[in-house]
Amino acid sequence: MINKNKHKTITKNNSLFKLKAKKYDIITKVKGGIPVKDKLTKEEVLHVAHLARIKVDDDEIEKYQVELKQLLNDVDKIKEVEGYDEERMIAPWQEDTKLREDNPGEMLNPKEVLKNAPRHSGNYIEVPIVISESEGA
Amino acid sequence: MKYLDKKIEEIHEALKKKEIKPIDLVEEAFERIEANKELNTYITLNKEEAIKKAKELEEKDAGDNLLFGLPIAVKDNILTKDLRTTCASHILENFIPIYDATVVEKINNNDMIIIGKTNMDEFAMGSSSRTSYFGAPKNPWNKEKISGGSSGGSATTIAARDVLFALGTDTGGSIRQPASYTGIVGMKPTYGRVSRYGLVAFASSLDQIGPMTKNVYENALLLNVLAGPDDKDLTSADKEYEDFTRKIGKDIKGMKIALPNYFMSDIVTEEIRNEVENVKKLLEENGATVDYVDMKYLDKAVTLYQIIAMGEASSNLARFDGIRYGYTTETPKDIEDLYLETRKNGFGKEVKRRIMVGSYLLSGENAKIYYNKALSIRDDMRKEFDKVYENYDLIIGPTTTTTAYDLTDPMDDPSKSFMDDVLVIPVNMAGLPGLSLPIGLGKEHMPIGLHIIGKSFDEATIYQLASFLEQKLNLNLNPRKDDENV
Repeated sequence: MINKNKHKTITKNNSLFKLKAKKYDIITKVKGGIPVKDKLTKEEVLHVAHLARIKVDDDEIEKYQVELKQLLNDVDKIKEVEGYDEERMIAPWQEDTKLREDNPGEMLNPKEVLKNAPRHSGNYIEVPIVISESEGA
Repeated sequence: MKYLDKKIEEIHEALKKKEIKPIDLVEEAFERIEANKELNTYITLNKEEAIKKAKELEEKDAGDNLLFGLPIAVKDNILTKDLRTTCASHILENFIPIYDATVVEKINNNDMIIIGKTNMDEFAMGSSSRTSYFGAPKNPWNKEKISGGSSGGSATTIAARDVLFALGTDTGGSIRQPASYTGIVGMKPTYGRVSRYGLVAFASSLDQIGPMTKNVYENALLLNVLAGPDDKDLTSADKEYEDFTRKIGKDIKGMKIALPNYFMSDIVTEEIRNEVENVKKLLEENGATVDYVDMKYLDKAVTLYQIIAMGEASSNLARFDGIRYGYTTETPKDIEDLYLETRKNGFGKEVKRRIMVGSYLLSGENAKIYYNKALSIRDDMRKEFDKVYENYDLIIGPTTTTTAYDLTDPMDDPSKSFMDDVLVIPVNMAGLPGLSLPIGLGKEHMPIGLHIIGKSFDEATIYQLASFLEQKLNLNLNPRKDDENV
């Protein structure tokens, strides 16, 4: 069932696996008509979820292992495209952007702004303690 | 009481002569929306305010403004002051904007009446509007089918003939693809043509607001209002006012049109290819030339889109933290827990998947490997379009590879929602204007759309060709036409 050579080719081409090139399962499951050959490890899913600041429950991990890997396989196709010059400067759009005068304009009313903040007090937005007393300078 | 079925000029005359009042149109729109309730088109209706505005307009003269007093639907990712704007997400379920988007200011200043906020894919991420927290809208041609996405609600309300005008947004086909699936006209203007101020950002270098209507002329009329530079969006282009209807009705003799081979390859169903072939013949009979051309990079567009759109989305959606606005988790243990729990519960599956992959693509060295490279190839792709436009006025092809599919089709393939837009995404990559025009019905009695792509800032020539075809084909597609009870 497990094709070791194939396994190695995939790991080599994917930088995520360069960092964490340890064992992972190869599954041959058919999902939405597309055969999914491999999946991320649980640790990799948790790493990606941490970057995105999204909590992933234990019972969701398995699904993400397959789905995220499929999207990463999709985007890896860019590695096959030739002719990339890293030094070239690219702006996402062509039009020249103009500058405006640095004059203060109309501002939003703080009371209005705070109406949408779930926790606020007076003119302040409340957040949980970010630096505790023991950590503080 | 069928004012909204009349031609816009007739409605305007009637309003001008005070034979009807804006309130009559507003009431008719709400009656239709109520009758079409099961289509799940709207997330929020603006009934009270719309009636108030209609009454205010009674004091005003319609003048030469063809759009005066006409109801318009707005996609729910465009901010409307004091009117709930959810992006079809749980995380913004109770969000009330404190300012208007620039386009909303413009339609208000032009005395149009906002009727409600339309359903869509959550944060515009999807191609069938099924990622909406509020459930998917249904296609007026067949309630078992999708309306497409992400501007599915706006497409639905036009196809169902609730109102004459709707605003959509298009990051990777989200105006044109649902327009094609529902048999209406949808235009994605050139990037920078319309201000994005007040549009909840998904992928900032691709997002663009555009008009969705039942015909070409009304589409161009609405773009006249939306277009123009805006100090609040420095990516809005510094272009003078122009009348986008000015070429409508002009002959197309001598027009040079390119039809890329990739757009007619076997990724497209035969019935759609046949319809496009018929259009090609019709154009040639009327003095235009249509040549098949080879274009590089078209088959790479989806990959570039996935990288750029997911990367930019992960950055844009970092603002949803449970602190400043939107849903928040009840009892966070600490600040980290507040982020993690809020985003886990607030976002839907598709959005979370895209944010996660996007965060990975932009992290550390990956930014170079993926995002920077994608921007570079995208620039090459834009040049490839420029090359074609050295010899041609317009590019055409089908808008979609199939007609609208079943609402119950599986949603567990994460690549599917990207592949649905394979023919429309290249246009966002190149920042060009593109329009979908209905050109027929397939064997399942579902609409087929023609995709017309123009040169940068040349929307007027797109409208010229589209209106020519609209007149020649004379389809008047209307799902309500066969309905005896209407």
